Amino acid sequence: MQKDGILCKKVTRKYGDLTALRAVDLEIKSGDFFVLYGPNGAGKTTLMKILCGLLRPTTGNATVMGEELHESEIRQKVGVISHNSFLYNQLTAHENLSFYAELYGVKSPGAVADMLLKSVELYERRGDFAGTFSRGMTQRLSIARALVADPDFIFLDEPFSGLDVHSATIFRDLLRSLHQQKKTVMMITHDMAIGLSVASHIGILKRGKLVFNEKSSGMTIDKLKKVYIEKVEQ
Amino acid sequence: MRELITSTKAILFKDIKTELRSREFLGNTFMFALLVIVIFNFAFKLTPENSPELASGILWIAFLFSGTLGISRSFQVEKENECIQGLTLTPVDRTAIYWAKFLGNLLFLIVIQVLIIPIFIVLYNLNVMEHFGLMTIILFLGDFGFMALGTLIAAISVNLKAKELLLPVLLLPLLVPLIIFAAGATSALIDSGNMDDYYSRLKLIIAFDVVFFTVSSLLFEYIVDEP
Repeated sequence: MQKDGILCKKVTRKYGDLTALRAVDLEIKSGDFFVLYGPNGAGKTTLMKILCGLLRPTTGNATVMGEELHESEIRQKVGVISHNSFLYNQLTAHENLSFYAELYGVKSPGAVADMLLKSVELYERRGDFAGTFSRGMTQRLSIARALVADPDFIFLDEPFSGLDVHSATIFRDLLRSLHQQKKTVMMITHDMAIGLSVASHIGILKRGKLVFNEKSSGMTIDKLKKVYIEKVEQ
Repeated sequence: MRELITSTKAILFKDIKTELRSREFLGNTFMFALLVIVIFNFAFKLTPENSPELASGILWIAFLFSGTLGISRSFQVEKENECIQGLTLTPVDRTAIYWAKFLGNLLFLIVIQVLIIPIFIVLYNLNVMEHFGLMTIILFLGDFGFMALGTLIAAISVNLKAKELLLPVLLLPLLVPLIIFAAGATSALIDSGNMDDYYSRLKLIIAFDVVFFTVSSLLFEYIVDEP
């Protein structure tokens, strides 16, 4: 069994009568940047929730570094950016990051919060309540929150949705730097161009089944679109 | 254990900070408790003879209903932006989340009692100074059991559709024994002064507290984690 990456073995997830994932096999090696595409309702978010430990598979198993995410030591190494920001509206940007840093056992929560606020260009707004932030600023703060413990594995669920051009550029640069640092990243997106620009591997999920999983090298945006349409319409 | 305490402290301080800024628990709970004791004061024809008899029941009804209103807020804060998922993604032991929420709710209820009881004593013309220490013990232990169970039920009901309705429906029947013991012990102090009565009920309250705090601490992770 692979010990240093993410591994899904025959993962099936049911919500009552609805089967969201059907025996998904997936391997993301350490240092890979895996981008997952798929139509709405394909099961992408469910797969990500299982991988980051928010949901349990109905059958099969999902592991990170050979361990299930419910183990607290592994959770230390995982950062998640979801549709929801996980931020407290009544806390300031700095307080939010310091709070999460403390929960992750970071040694100097305040200093780490400052450093991350600078990296997402929100340092000037460090004393403002998260509830007063725009969608783009909230998303940037959410990115900083996911990085407080300097995770080795990062899960991103449509992180570019609602971002303005400035925020999207900051975020894309941040993603590239994470990839250069050999972090293992799994990103769900509908934006083919952005996904392809950062991906080392690409997957397509359709009705709970992984119908495509290849390296991104040699893939162009036109080719990707063609493959996507083919696989989704098949 | 050290990590558990550190995490509990971090979540508790966060809750205190957000509460001091929003005052949703303290503001609403105080107003509700005040209204209950004032309305009962007018509703019953109180005399020096019947006042101590009725007072303990009214006092615990005021804290029961206002406290139930307050604890429903403690997990609502975590539902905004799905912060509860953010908490469960961290390596923090789920018990720390429960302990922090429990301690926060307990602290806020004690603050309400510190504000309400002097008003209550004046309105109902009671002399509780004679047994002030014993009165404090019974209030604290009653609050402890109430919040131990209430925090768990609030965590269950926050994910349900009719949460505002279901919290009292689920919680109040389970609290009936505690309220009977607590009101009985309070009555023993301010009315009859029967210490045997007081101590027998105190033992039952302690048993309730131990059982429900332990069970809630153990069950919480199954409630907060999605199946």
